[in-house]
Amino acid sequence: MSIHLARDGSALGIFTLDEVRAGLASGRFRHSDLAWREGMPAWTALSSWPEFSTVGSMLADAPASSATEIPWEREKSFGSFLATLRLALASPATGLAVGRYAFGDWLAFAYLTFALALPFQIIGLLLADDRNRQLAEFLEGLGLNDIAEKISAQPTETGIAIVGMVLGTFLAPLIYAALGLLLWLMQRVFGHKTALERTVSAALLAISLVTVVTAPINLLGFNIVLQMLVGLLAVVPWLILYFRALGAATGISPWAQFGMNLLLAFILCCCCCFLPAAFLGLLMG
Amino acid sequence: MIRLVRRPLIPGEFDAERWIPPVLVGLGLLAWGFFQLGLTTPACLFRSMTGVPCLACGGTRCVRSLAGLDIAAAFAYSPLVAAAALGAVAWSIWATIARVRGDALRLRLVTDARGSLQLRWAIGVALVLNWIWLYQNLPA
Repeated sequence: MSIHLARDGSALGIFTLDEVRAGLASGRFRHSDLAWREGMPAWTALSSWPEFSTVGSMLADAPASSATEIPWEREKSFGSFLATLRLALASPATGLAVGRYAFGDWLAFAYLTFALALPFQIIGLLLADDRNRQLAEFLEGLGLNDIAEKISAQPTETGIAIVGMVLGTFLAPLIYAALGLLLWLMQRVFGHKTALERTVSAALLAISLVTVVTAPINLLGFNIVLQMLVGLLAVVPWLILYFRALGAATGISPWAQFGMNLLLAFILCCCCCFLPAAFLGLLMG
Repeated sequence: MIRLVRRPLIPGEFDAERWIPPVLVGLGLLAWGFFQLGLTTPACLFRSMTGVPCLACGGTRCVRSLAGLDIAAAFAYSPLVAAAALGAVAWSIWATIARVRGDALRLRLVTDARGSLQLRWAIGVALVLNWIWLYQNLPA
């Protein structure tokens, strides 16, 4: 008889009766793990199967799926939002390891983060008299006169830019959720069985953390070269923060996450780098 | 072991049959509209710098051919992308029919540790073979 086992929304595999018995006795499986075999209408916990009621220790089964140490998952308030950010910055390895990682919680967290970063973006834009002109001057300095000429021919429309930022704030969490889906696929390819919802939520948490930390860089908008320089200097700490949080929240080593994200970025290079360039090219004729 | 099984959705499991078909339809419409507007994507930077195709080269032209229902051209541009896209379409049709019929059992690929390793190797080999095809046949 083949028995399908699952835990935390992910399949563990198909096992024989004896393998499940041995797994329960050794602690490999828990009585709270869900099981299904052909003919049953739904998954039920192993504890409700008469075949396994006397095997292993019921005490070993903590209700892990409902436990959380993350303030944002315990209550939704500005205080818990800040406490979660502090936790993710100071002790991600221990603080983020135990959580429910429900998608709705972290989508809300990401929206709050991007909403808080929006004023920094708008102030940065208002501080700069014309970002396109600044960028054109910078490119001229590099000898890229053709591109500089095209950019300077299109002065920044502040109103349109602000509308774009607001729209971006609305879309960004959804885009990062989609990237989380791709990351989950990459994790599966490399044999990591972290659940999809947890991976997507972890991606939203990690990008939220970095968005908050780097938001003040937008205040350097009065000098685009300075802003780019500080942004470049912030890349390494940015990566450390991002992958520490992502690794802890997904239960995968930060280095492994770094490698998988790098590969994903390489595969997506056409979409990441060239689609925006294509649209820019279209806009500039 | 690598097996295709039919089983109920695990509580908390991502409901692929519910979400992936509409997302694929949306992406398909987006691709179709993108190419209908005459928009194109720039050439691959990796290929222009090194002279050899990247793993994803030919993908855009493959999708454009699929959007124009030119299956043969799609396979010529990228066999792997074409096969994956057609597989996704076939699976979406199956998933939609299953949902409409109210079938509680979902089709899933189940592997043990050895099967998982074999599957990853198979994906790696498919990527390499596809890349060799691109290297030899993909027009500039």
